[in-house]
Amino acid sequence: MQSTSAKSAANASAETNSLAELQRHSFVFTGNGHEYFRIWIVNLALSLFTLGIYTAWAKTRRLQYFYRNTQLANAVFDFHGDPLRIFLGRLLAVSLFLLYNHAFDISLHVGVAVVMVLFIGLPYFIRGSLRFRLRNCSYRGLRLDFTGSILGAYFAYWPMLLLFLLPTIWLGVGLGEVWMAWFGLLYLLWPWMHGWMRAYQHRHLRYGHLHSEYQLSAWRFYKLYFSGIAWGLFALFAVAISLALLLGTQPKVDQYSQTQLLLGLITALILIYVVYLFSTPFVTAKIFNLCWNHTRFPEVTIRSEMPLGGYLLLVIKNTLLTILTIGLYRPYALVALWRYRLQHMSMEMPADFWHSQVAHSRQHGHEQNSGEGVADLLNIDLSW
Amino acid sequence: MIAALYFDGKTALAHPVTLVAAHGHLSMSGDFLLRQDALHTLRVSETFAYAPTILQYADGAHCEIRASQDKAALLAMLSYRPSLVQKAQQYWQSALFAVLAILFFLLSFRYWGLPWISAQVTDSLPIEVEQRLGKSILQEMEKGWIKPTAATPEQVQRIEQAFAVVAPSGGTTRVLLRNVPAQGANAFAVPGGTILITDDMVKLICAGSFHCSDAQLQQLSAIFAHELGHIAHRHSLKSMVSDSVNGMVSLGLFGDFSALAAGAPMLLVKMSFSREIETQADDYGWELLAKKGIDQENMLLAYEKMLTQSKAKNLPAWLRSSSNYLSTHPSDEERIAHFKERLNEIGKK
Repeated sequence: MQSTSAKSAANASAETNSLAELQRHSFVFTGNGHEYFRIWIVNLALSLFTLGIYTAWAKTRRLQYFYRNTQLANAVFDFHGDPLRIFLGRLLAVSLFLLYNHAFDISLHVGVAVVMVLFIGLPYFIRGSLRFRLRNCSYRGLRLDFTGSILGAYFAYWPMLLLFLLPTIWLGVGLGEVWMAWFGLLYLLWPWMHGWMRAYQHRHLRYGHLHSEYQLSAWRFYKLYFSGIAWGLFALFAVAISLALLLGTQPKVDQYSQTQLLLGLITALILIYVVYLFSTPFVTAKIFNLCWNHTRFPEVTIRSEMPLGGYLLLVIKNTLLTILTIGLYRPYALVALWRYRLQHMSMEMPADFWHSQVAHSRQHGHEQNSGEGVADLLNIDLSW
Repeated sequence: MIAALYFDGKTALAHPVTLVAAHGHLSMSGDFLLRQDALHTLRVSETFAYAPTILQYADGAHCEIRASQDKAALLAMLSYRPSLVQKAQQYWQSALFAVLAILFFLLSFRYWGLPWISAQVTDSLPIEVEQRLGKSILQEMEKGWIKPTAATPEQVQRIEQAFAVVAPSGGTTRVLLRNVPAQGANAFAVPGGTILITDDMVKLICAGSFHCSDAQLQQLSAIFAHELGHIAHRHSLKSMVSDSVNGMVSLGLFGDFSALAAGAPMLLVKMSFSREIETQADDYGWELLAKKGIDQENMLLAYEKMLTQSKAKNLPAWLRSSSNYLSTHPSDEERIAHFKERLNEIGKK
């Protein structure tokens, strides 16, 4: 009675010949750039003509497109977020941004007050966004969830917020440069802060009744950052030397003319961008691999083996084509990036995993969402 | 008959099932499973070309249908109607139309929306705000990079007279002569009605000294007339408003790609807006000179002096003309040609 496609779909998940047998499932992306381009451009036009309001609906559609085209073990992911919640999140994000930008223009007290509000509010809102994103993501009919506590959010995000917000306060108050210089030393802690934040995000994932485990020391991020910087500097020297060879043949001008200054400035900008362009994807890919390779669920291991060189080339190609097409390549770039990530990701689990393991967790199902009252009212999506 | 994978919403198990519609109901049957639902209780999520179609039951269960003929059959069964947006997403014609619409929107935002918004906001702000702003800017400047003028009080007085000739009555505007080595020969309109002119600018017009002839003073008046145009149009406030709106829009549109890339369109718009402002101030100054009975040729002469100075800076011609597109001011050549044309028109009359 069954058609063949349904049979093959069933095979992968219904193999029960051996309990101990492990099965590896690769992620597959079925979307394509041409289709997403049309979705993207139509939604962009609607977003512009509604002065940004439609972006919330456009985002819902974007996530639905990417999730539903993401396949694992013959089933797809799905996104169920309410666009209105996303819209409220955007309203909040824009007002916080405006407040933050203009608070110190109004008065010092208002400025300090706004920074304090951000300091206290942001970890809470970020946690809300994580919960929103995961709770509205389903796979095989079960929702994902984020179970990080509020206290945990403060621990995870305060170090980084301190780094961002303190200079603003000090500029507002008018502290001296010496203080700022000492403060700059705190940036040396950045890799640790990043690792610490990622740990909070990866340690509290839930699918059905399964909780994630994450074993990676935040200090490991130093190695990542150092290799990223080393790689960026290597690229910098390569480009600087070729530029010097190229420009060195130009006729010399005696004094500092505006031409030289301009050329010097352009060269410096290109060099800075080169470091950025080469080291950022390098670090991003390494962190992505490392974090997912250290995240697991009971009986499930996750493997991410994104090749650094390939990822770097892809990012550079995407950047160049996006600029050359004044942005029209952007949807193709997004699709290519998502596909590349998924291609190199897989999960390993016992063959009878879906039979024995995963069930809906009653306490925290999405239908209970409304019961959480005020706390859930602010579970809105702040992310773009 | 449609092949599907059924998920009950309580466990992660995938059940291979078949779907059949009859008498306003959809029947699902698989191993040990059977359910029947009225068609009107079922919903299909927005469809995408290569993703499985998702059939949602009212109780949270769902089916994923993969094969394209099965997807089409299901949609027909439930007489699914795609939304207008969804239809638009299917055709290249509508994508092209969207590109044109976006282009139209961005251009009209640049040439109509942005000037309108900045004019509205500027008009709603009282003059005191501008004065307060100007005061704090001047205070900030006096802390470091501007120094007292090297001219004698008598020389300053003569320059102030050249300003008084074109300045509006009532004393809402004033001129300050200062030594600003970093800026070279320049004059700026500070918000709130103050015009700052640099020592180097006076020297440029008055042949290297502060001892200006009457003819040279008239050229200074022409420069003041231009700056008064900035003040009359409240340009400094307008460009501040326009910059912040422009910044937000650019960041909103391109920021998620890269903050650096968002800077490029922002800069282009900022510069073209600034060039418009300069032209507006030129026009204002030109009319003002005529009204005050000063020969308009003085403006031409002043710009010619600035041109010889910028030529002395070794800038090759190709760079000067191409940097015009990236400049905050129209080039001096362009301005001079423009003024000459106008003078000729007057001559013909």
